Amino acid sequence: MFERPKKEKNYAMVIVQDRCVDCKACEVACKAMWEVPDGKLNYRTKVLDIEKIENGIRKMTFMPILCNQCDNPPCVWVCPTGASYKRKSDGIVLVTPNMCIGCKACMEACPYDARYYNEELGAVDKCTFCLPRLESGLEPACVQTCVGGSRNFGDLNDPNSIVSKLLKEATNYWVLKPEDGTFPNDFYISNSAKTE
Amino acid sequence: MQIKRRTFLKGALAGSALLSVPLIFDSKAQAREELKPYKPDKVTFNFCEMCFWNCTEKVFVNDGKVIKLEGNDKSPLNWGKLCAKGQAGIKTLYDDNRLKTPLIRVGERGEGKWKKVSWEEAFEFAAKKFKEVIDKYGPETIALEMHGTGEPGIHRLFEVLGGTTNFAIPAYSQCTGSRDIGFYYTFGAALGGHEPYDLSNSRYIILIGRNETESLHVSELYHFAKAIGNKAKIVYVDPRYTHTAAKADKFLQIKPGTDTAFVLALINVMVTEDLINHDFVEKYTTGYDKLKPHIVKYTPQWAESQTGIKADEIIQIAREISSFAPNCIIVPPRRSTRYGFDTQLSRAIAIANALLGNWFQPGGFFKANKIKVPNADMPDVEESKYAQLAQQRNAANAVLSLTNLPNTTQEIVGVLGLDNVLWEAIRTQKPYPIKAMISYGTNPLFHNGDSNKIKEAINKLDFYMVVDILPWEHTLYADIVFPESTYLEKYDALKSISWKYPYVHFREPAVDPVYDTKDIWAIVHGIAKHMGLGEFFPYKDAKGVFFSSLNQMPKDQRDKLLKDGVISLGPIPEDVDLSGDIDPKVAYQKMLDAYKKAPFNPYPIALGEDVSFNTGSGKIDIYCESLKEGGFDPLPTYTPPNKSKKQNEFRLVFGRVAVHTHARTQDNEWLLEHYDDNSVWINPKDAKAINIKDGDKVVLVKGNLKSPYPVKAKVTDKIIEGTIFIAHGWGRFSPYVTRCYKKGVSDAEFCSNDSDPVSGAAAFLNSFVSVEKA
Ligand code: SF4
Ligand code: SF4
Ligand code: SF4
Repeated sequence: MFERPKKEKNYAMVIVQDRCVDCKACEVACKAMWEVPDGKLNYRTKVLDIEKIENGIRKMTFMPILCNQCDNPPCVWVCPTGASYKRKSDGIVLVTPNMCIGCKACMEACPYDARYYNEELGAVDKCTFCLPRLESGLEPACVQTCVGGSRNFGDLNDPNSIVSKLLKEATNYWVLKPEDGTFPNDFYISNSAKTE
Repeated sequence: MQIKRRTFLKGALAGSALLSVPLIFDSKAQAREELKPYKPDKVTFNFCEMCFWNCTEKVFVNDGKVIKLEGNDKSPLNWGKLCAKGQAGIKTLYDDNRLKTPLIRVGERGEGKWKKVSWEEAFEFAAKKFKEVIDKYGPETIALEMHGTGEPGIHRLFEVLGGTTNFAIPAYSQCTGSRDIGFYYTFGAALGGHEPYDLSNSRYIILIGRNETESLHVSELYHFAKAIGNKAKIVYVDPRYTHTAAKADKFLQIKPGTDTAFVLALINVMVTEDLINHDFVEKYTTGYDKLKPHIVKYTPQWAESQTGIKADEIIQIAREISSFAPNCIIVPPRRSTRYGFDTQLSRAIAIANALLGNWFQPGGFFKANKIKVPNADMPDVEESKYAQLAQQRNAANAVLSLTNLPNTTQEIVGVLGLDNVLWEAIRTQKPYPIKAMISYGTNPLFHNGDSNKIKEAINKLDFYMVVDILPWEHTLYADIVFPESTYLEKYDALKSISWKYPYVHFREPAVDPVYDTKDIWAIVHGIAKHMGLGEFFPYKDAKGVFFSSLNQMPKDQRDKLLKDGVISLGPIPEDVDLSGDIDPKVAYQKMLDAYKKAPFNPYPIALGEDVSFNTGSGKIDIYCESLKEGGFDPLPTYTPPNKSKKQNEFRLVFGRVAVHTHARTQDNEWLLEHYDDNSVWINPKDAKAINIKDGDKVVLVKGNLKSPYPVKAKVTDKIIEGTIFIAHGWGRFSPYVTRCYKKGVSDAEFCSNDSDPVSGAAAFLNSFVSVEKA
């Protein structure tokens, strides 16, 4: 059985799905922040519009996605050079650009479509939970600007963090594609008035 | 390179075989570069000008370049948030299509042939032209339309030139006019640009075509999302399934133009079933006794026949919302320039809210507060020789001469103008010739209905001056174009906003102007100086204006403003949080108790203060005497919308998308990534009738008018039968805005230019068009 590794900090994102209003502020903020090259296919985070008709009633859901900083990250396991790695201290999954040979194995391995090839960098790029911002005491750019207050970020090891509180109070939470055994650190809940 | 992406939802099993590898082991740790914390060289303060909500922000600068915009988390307006448009402001700053120098027209109007001139030449040219117009026709024949933070600057020039009443803020006549007039006649208060909807504390919200998520302003939307978090019940009424519909518990696809019938029927149920808030109605309103017999005929069954919404549904909604009174709200549309009976709708909505007793109550309408700030020290404009000349000549207000509006509306129009009628006055040169026009930050070819008439109007002018940031279509017609600096390159007058949480914020340049541009205060200063009117502009640019007010502020306030970028009155009590297992009554009381101690009070009625209303009666006028005296309906009535006379013609409706503001962001690279062309939404039944398939390239046709650039048909039952929808602001025909040139179809060209008899504001949605394969 897989056990989540222990980390000094367990950074996590808790997304209140009902509160996402598909405003795309997060996507643009992220592009600006990390100089993600222009073009629709280049992104570190994205909001999906999912539409279905249930009992004759249209249901449209907005689902923010980003790297799950998986505790069992297939992208890291397949990387032939070690460019992709997971940090021991906080579990963030990163790519070291000058070690990346652009083979894109990680992009194929990621079940969440969370990586893209950055032509300008000549390397695969992905969400870092805005690690350099965290180190300056700032929230991730997408969380900071999230107009719906849908995205929440914090350390699950801290019982007083917003993410711990949200998960504790949620009647139900889920991760994406649990069947893939990746053990994501992005959690989804349906509804909450809390934000920070 | 194109990368084939895997479909997101397809199950991939890559990880499962590796379940037994729980290790985090980085063997290459030594080889990695150390990560540097993020730290910009410089942070400056600003407020966003990508739309007119003006969210407070911080600007991060590295190596003399703006690298990131971020909401200022100390601001009670937007709590650190910016929307996609706000985040993309950088791409407007660095848009290489920007106006880069002053330009004087050398070709025909519309040709877009200019010569580049120096600022001195430009000032001299404008000064000469204004003088000519004043000498030949009188100062009252100068007109102005304006939109944006620079309004006070350009308006001051207008007044110094002796301009009188012929000016307009299109935000009234082209957008909120009918809504605001309806509320003014009822509550004695217009709702204004920063609406007092207390959505975050509301438990039941009915949105009448108010598309919160796409026609979006950060704080209003944030508060709306908070209501979702509180499991407030949301009912959304619109002929089109929008992203707001996606957030609603109930979406009612109403026939266009019948909203008033829906609201009157809600009132009917509230009255006949006695669901009204009696205490409130008795204490604060007049005319309920007259409403009772008036409303009898507007039954839910009748409304069903008009709106297509089931009578039972209407009854249920009326009962439900009343049960949450006063912590509930019926939100009117913001752009209420629709069918020409929009003031009736607004009155009906205002009255329905009054019956719920939600004025100055949590979850209803809050009371806005404002922090007083000193004005910049400047001489009185009335001293100007042209202003005095204008006073002697005492010319009529052209717009009022052409309309027949109730008295109270006339007063408001005197302050805000009617842009739709002003252009008509120019086109017809009636009641007297208007010979000069200034468009500041607004594009009349995109905000007027039947917009080709505007080209005709411009040709009647002796002088057309435009101040803008990009070479949009109206600049092609201008005699002179002044390039304005963007908000990231300049100071501006200090801004104090009246809102639930009052605040003051300011703007300072983050970088030097990228091109040879100036702020509006510098532009008007230059023109005035060349006319011998320099004394009225004692500051050579916005910086001087800003510091003049700032220096008059008390020191502690000033220091705080400069340190934080914003001042507000705090501490700010928290909104109700109903997400846990809490009794709502207790939650509301807790919040109200906190407000008892706060330095401002958005809920005076809830807190038992005496409140009077700025109406004829001093109370909320359900029955409006002054409308009656003017020969207008004192109680709201219903008129069915017009009908198409031909087969296979569809009503044209338009609206906004979340990532663009009006017609002013379509050249922004980041926003184009999300939305770069509009499409024609058409119902499958209609599409079948005219043999159009999803994705077909189509054009719109109306009489001799045919849209020049084909767009895709989007066949979807999200739009009701008989109606087509397009997003606003497309059909771009200025070759100088290369990123959006020839993209989309223009709503302005095809929509109607009718008006509402009570507000005078435009009515755009009475037009029928056909759709043809391109
Ligand atoms: S989401 Fe994808 S990129 Fe991120 S850690 Fe998991 S597998 Fe790797
Ligand atoms: S910023 Fe927030 S609300 Fe807006 S699209 Fe992104 S996750 Fe959704
Ligand atoms: S709502 Fe968006 S565009 Fe408007 S001022 Fe705020 S951040 Fe800027």
